[in-house]
Amino acid sequence: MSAPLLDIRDLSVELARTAPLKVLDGINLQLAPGEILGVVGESGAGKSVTGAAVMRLLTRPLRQSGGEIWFDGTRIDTMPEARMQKLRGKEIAMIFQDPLTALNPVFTVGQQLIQTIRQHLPLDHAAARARAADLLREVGIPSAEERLENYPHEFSGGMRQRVVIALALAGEPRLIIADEPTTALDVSIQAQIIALLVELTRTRGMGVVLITHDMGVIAEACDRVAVLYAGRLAEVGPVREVLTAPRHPYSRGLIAAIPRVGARLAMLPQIPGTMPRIDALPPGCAFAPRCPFVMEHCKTHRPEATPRAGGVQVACWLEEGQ
Amino acid sequence: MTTEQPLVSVENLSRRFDVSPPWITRKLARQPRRIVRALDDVSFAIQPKRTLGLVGESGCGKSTLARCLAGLMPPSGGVMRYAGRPVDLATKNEPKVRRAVQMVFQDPYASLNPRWSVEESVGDPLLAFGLAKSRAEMREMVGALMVEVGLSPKDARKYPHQFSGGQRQRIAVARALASRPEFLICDEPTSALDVSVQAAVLNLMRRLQDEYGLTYLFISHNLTVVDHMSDDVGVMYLGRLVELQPTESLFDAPRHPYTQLLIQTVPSLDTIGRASAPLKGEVPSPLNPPSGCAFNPRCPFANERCRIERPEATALPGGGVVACHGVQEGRI
Repeated sequence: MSAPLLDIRDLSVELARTAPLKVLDGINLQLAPGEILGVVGESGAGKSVTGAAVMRLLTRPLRQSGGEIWFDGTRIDTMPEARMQKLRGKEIAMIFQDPLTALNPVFTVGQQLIQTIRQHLPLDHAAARARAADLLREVGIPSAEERLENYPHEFSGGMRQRVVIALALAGEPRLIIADEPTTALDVSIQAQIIALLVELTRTRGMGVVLITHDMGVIAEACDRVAVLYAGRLAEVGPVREVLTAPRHPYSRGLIAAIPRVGARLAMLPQIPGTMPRIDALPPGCAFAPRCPFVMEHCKTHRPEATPRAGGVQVACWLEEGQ
Repeated sequence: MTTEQPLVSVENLSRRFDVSPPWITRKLARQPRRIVRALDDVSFAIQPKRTLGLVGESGCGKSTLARCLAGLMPPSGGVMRYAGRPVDLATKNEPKVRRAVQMVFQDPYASLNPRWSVEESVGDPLLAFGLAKSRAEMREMVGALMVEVGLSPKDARKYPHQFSGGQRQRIAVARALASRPEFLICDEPTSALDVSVQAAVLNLMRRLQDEYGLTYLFISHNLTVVDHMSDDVGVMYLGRLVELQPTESLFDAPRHPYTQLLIQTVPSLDTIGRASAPLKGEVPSPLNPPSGCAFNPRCPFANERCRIERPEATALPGGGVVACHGVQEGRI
C-alpha cells in the first residue's frame, strides 16, 4: 500500500460527563488514495462519530480524548482551527445523509456552488460559474447550465444528492467522508449514486470513507471494509475477504442476518441480544455477552485488532488461540 | 396460485388526490385542475395464510394502497373484498372486518404515542373491541402479548422512549396482534431498523404467521426482504401494478423490464467490487405521468405503441400477471 492519505491512529472519542464514556475506543484505520473504505456497524456503533472526528466536527459533549489523525502526512487533530478551516471543504469534504438539510433552501444551487468554489479556488465569478456547471455535468445532472438557477426544492431526491456531491467536489478534495449518502434514496437511485461515487474515486484518485449500514452498498462500492461494534474495531480488511470469510463472530452474525435473494430460508440467523449501551460495556470483549463462541478469557480480557492472513485485522480471542 | 377463496382481494382499486391550486388561482391563471393518480386500477388477491409482497420506489403508491386497505383513507374507485364480501373499511359499518385487519407502520418512533405507556397503546384495541372485559383482564392480555413478541410483561408499564427501535417495532406488532387479526398490513416494517434487528423482527413475524395463521401484505422497497418474506410478489410503478408473480418465478424470470432492472440493481453481497449497471433516469412525477406505459421513458425496449397505449395487466402462462406490450407481443 502506498503512503496512506488518511491515517487514524488509536483514535478515542469520549462523551464528557462526570464519568466520561468512551464512544470510540482505540480505532486504527488507514486509507490510500483512490481507495474506498467502508465503515459499517449498527446505530450507535460509532460510524458517524468516526467521520465527524476526521472532519473535526465533534461538538460538545463529544471530544477526542486520544489518538492521532493524519491527513497526507500532516497531523490534523491538533492543527489550529484556522488552518483546519482551510482544509475542510477544500482538501477534505463531506457528503451527508439527507440532501435536503445539507443544502440551503433559500439560495439557488448555482449560488451555493459558486460561493463554495470561490471560497476554495482563486477564480472570478464567471469562471466559478463555468466550473459550477462543469461540476453539475460531472455528477450527471442534465441541462446543467439552466439547473444552476434552480433552488434545492426543485430537484428530486436523487438529483439533490448529486448536487450535494457536486458541492463536495467543488474544492477538488482529496478525501471525501460520505456519511450514509444513499440511505434516504430509492434502490435504483442508490445504485446510480454509488456508481457515480465509484467512478469519481477512480477518475480523480480521491480517497473515500463510506459510512453505511448497508452491506450490499459495501460489497458493490468498497475496496476495504471496517466493522465497528460498540465503538471498537471488530474487523477490518479487503471487502472480499471480510464478506465471504468473516472471522469476527459479530461480522459473521451480521452478514448471516442479511436476507439474500433465492436463499429460501424459513428463519434468518439472528444474533441474540442487543449491542450494549456504552455506559454498560462488559470489561472484556464488548461482544462477549452475545457471542456463540465466548470463552472465559473473553469476559475479562479485551482483544486488540491484530493482523491475520489475507490482510485482515481481527479483534477476537478465537483467532489468538489458534 | 390456488383457486381457494382469497381472504383479501381488490379489483381496480384507485385513489386520486386533488392537488389543484385554489379556485381563484385557477380562474385567474387559467390553470386546470391537477389530479394525482396515486393508485390506478390495482387488482390482486391474497390467499389465506399467505404473504403478498409489494415492491416499488417512493411515490409508486405502496403506502396509499396500504392505507386504503386498512381503511385509513377511502379509495376513489374499485372494490376491496374480504373473505369474498365487498367491504368499505373507511366507514364504520364493518366492525368485525376492521378488527380483523390491522397495520404495522414503518416508523416505530412515530407510530406509538409517546405519552401513552405500552400498556395503554397495546391495551387500547382490546378495550375498544370489547375483547377485554375489565382493566385487570386487559393487563393480563397485554402481558401475554408482550411475551408473544419477545418482551417482558413488566415492560408494559414503560413508555416508548425507554425502548430501542427494534423493541418499539415489537410493541407495534403486539398492538396489531391485540385485536386477534387475520390480515396484517405491514408497511416497510423493518426499513428503520439495523440488519441484525431486522432479522429478529422478520423472524418474529414469520413465527406469528405460522402460529396464528395470519395473512400478510408485506410492503417494502427492499427486494431481498420481500423475497425472504413473500409467497407472491407484486411490483408497482407510478400507481400501477406492473407485474405480479409467485416469488421464485419473479426473481428467477422477471418479465416486466422494470422488474428486471430493479432486480439487477439490488445491492447484494454476491456482487463484490462490481457496481451494478444502474437504471437510468428517475421515477417521473405522478403529477405529470408519461402517456402510454408509465415506464416507457426509462425502458430500453419501448416503441411507438408503448408511448401511446397504456398496457393492461394480462395473465402469464405460469400464473401471475404482467402489464407490458413487449411481453404480450413476445418481444421481451
